[in-house]
Amino acid sequence: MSAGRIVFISLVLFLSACATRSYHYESTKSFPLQDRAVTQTQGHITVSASVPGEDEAQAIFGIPIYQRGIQPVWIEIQNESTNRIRFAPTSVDHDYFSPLEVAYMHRKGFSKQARSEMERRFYRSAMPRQIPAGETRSGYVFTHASPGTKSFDVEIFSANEDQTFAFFIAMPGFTPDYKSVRFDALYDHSEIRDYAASDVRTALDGLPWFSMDQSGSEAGLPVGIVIIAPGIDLLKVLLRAGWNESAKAQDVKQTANAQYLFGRVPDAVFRNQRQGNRERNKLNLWLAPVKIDGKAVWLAQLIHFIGQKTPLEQAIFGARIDPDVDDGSDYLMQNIWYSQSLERVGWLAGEGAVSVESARFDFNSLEYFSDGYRTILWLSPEPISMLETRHMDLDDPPLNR
Amino acid sequence: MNTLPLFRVHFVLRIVTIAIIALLFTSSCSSTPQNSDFFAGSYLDRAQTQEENGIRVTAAVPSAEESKEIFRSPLYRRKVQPVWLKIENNRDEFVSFLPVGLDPAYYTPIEAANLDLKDQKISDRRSSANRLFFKAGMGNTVPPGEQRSGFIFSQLDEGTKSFNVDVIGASGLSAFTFFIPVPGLRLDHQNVDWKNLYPPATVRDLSTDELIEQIEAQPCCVTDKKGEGSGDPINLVLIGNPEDIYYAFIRAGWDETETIYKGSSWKTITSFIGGSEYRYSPISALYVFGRGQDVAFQKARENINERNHLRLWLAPYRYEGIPVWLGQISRDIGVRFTKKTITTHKIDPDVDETREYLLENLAYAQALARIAYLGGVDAASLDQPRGNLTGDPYFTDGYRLVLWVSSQPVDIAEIEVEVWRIPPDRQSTP
Repeated sequence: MSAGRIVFISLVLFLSACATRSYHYESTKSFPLQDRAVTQTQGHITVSASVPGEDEAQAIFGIPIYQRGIQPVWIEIQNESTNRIRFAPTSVDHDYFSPLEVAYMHRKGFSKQARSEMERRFYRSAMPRQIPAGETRSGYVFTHASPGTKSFDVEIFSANEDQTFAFFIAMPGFTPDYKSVRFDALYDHSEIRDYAASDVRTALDGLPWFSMDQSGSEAGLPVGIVIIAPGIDLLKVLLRAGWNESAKAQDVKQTANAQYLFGRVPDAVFRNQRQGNRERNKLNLWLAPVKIDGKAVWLAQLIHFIGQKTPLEQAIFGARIDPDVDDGSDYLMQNIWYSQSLERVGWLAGEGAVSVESARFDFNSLEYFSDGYRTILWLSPEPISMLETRHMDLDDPPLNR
Repeated sequence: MNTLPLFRVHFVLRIVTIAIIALLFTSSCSSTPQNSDFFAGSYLDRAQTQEENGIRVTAAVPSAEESKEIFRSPLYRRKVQPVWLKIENNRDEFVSFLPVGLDPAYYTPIEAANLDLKDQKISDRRSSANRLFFKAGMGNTVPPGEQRSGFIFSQLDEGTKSFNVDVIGASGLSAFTFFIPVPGLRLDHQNVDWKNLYPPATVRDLSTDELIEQIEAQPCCVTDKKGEGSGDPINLVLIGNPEDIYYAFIRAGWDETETIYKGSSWKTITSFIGGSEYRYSPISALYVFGRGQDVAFQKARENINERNHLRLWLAPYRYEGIPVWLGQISRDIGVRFTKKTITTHKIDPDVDETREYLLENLAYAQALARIAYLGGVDAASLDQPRGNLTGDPYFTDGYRLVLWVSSQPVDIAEIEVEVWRIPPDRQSTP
């Protein structure tokens, strides 16, 4: 018998020995999922939802599904109407994982009996689509995992009407950066000036056009976006538009290279990604010392990473950004418009113009150019049709975008 | 940001790059790039124009070769597809074109110019690629009485490119939907002689009762080429004209399917080995009415092993004057080995789940006018599943989903439900 054969046979023996794991899970009753569920009622329909964290999901399903990028969402629907209703799992995640797909992905190492038990566990725990009149159904939808607050819709259809329930569920074990900012202590009350909605131009006059480095001596990137919205509305709008929160920067180096405004790092950083976890956009937000119509005003810059680099490649080669920073402002405007959250939009010409021919570098050697316009986005807390978005009577839209 | 070791990496990379450039230069100095002309090329012969409410939009999509010629970069290989647009504004107000409506993950021009690890500055006059792409980009604001044209860099869709062009101004939104065929693929439906599939005289128009009877009398499942065996359940009935069905699936994000030829086999093998996506991969034939599917669509998820497959066969009857199709849908959840075919896709045994997914998928794409259920498949339970032709188990409630497909957008709230049969409820025990 050749050495190769011995290795092969031992490998087969080893692998088959592994495939004898049995399958265990804990009953949902031992978790406070229902206790911390968020509940909403519209007419005769009540929807509750809760999202198990990584450890809870491991216990509930007996396998580490988060490690494969799968996040279970628990849903309960009470139908007190006289119609049968249909719940659409695609509304929670249009590319959701089917229950038996999740089981199949994790089959390795389990015995035949255990695989069969696992399949049944997933099959039976799935949220059914049909909810007969007067009944209650509950179960899980298996979604793509996203960091931070989980944002999703639950849509329900019946013969008479369609209903949408929007959920924002805080995740155990994740603290977004803005939670450690004391927003009411950022400015002295006497410092904050409140302007009427008709005075946007005056209100924004004098606010900085560029961020700075940590020492405040070298210029950073343009701050070309102004958002008018209370913090909670801004958060919901960004989550609905597909942005993810960031954890607070721990790394000293990260803080040292950060963009500073009003002498501080961003109050909140949001990110969105392309498929395959390639970082695409980063949105830096700072609360400004003015209010418009009693609403908070945020200065923002969108940094669009290019070169299709993974975080590892970025660490090795350094980040590259799209020097056309106005494209970023335009993207955010459309992104919010398409997610039906833009009540008003306007533009103000200003000081930040840098032509392509004489593109500049910020303190991190990031290259940029801009037409120097500020894009002003007034958010709507409730979904608003794209056709209802109004133009603010400010400057004509920039022509070279 | 540059520390010493990183500097060394850069240095080494630069030496390697210089060496490669030197090599290329000596081997191909004859191919000096010509000045690009964006507005000449056969892709413009395929341009389509639509007009509404004072806005006129012309769109064209260059093929892989044409894109390479225009941009001197293998954009298709990098999964980027340029779409050329011309927007004429005959309104007396400013209008904005919204690229996010065309592709929510579009590439900005400079991003498209920098998809590899080139390190060029826009301010560097030698960086011709940056300038070329930037100049080719489409302006988003069109003043009254003027026109703008240029390219949007979208994510690649081979076969038929389907996209929206949304133009918005104070007096309202104009939404245009384009379906533009792009040369380069050999698609299965191009081979079907639709007119002669059935002699016209033999195609019957059925009443509702006849349709129900006819559908429920169809065999439960597909067969092999010899008409033997019992494979995946025929769990779909579609009612629609070929172009309605085609546009509905393309709009809902499904991809067309290539026929088997040398090129497609090679693409299948390389994507299998490399784990990359070949979205138009040929699909094995399953048989109904004594022939393999007339057309197949597929929807890729993260890799080649995870996608949904849908096969359709035109039936020799019509309902309310519209063609009827039988269909089969399955969700691939992995690859497994078999004695017969060596490898095959492992399907989600819960085939009803996949069937209901399709209903939602088409409804959200506003492509459904009416739905109903009919019997004919024979139920099989989770505990006593049936097997398909490759021995893969499946279970089902035994119902066929009937979908009236619309090429005109239909709001979800307006979908009609025909109560012909009601599938049983599924219980859960979380």
